[in-house]
Amino acid sequence: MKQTEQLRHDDKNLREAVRRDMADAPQLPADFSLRLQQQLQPDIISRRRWYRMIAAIAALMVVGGLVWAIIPQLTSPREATEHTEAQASPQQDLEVASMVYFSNTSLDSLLSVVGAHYGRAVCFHDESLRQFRFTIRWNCSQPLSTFLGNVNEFDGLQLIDRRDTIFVDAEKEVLP
Amino acid sequence: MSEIETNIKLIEAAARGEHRACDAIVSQFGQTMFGIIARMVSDRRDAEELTQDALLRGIRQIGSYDPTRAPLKSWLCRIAYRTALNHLRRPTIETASIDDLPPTAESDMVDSFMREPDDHRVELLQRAIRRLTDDEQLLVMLFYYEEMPLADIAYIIAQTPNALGVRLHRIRQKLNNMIKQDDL
Repeated sequence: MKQTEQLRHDDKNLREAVRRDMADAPQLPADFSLRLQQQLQPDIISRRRWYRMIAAIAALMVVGGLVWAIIPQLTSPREATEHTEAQASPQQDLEVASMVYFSNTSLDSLLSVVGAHYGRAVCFHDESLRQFRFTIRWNCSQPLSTFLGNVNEFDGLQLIDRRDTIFVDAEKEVLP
Repeated sequence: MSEIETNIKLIEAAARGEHRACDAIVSQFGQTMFGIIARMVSDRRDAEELTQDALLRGIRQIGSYDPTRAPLKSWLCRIAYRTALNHLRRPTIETASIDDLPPTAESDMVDSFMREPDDHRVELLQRAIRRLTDDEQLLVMLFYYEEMPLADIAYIIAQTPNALGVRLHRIRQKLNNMIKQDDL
């Protein structure tokens, strides 16, 4: 085999003849590399598509993981708050439960409810006051005096608790 | 980094669509691959397309390249050779028998014709080379022009180095005979 390898160097005429023959041989066109690149494009696009899919899946997993990690943190404080509220709630619950909301209700209707609650009769000195309409909150757990004080804030009204009766009168102007 | 590693990285860069890597591959390996295919496939356009196919196959299958078996260039040339064979639907080139070795006396005459530098002989040889079969031209090209070791050529065309050696001797004698007949 070594002798055969030696032919490459010894056969000077044949080597030169082959060299000249190759000089005349057709060459690859100048745009061959560009064409090769174009042929490779679908591979690259397909590979990029795979990368994108993998990236999308990875992103979904990361987002999913974050959501999974964050949700308990988001819900826990609320639950804690609710728990705290629940602990503090008997009084508040009582308040909420004892709160009555009168919306555009006549004074006559309003006082019949309130009076019944506190065991009071209602006496209107001025009958026209029965049609006074109120929008007011009443906490029935509070004393009657508190409620009456709130109502007396309205101009032209004076409610007095006396001898188990709520007396309703028009507010008298205080003369100087 | 070794030459092999550099070349593999070059091909991987081409696979990623890097323009310069494609240019480098074509200039480094493309012309030899085209030379092999063009020797076997007469139509130039077919040869160009087959060269492109072979290069694409090489780039896509670079992961299967085993540097311990052959240099990268030989591996790519083997792909080019196989691509051309598939195109021609031929299993392989004809093989030579050890019995085909020329007699010693005649062999000496051939040696003398090939070795003593003579421009006229070069011209005669150049014309004679073009009358060789495609397979013979391919072997001459890889051996004398590309200066590939017989082991690498054997890897490319799937023959034993010994069989190729015999075949080379036969080709030299054939060239000598052609020239002699022309003189007569």
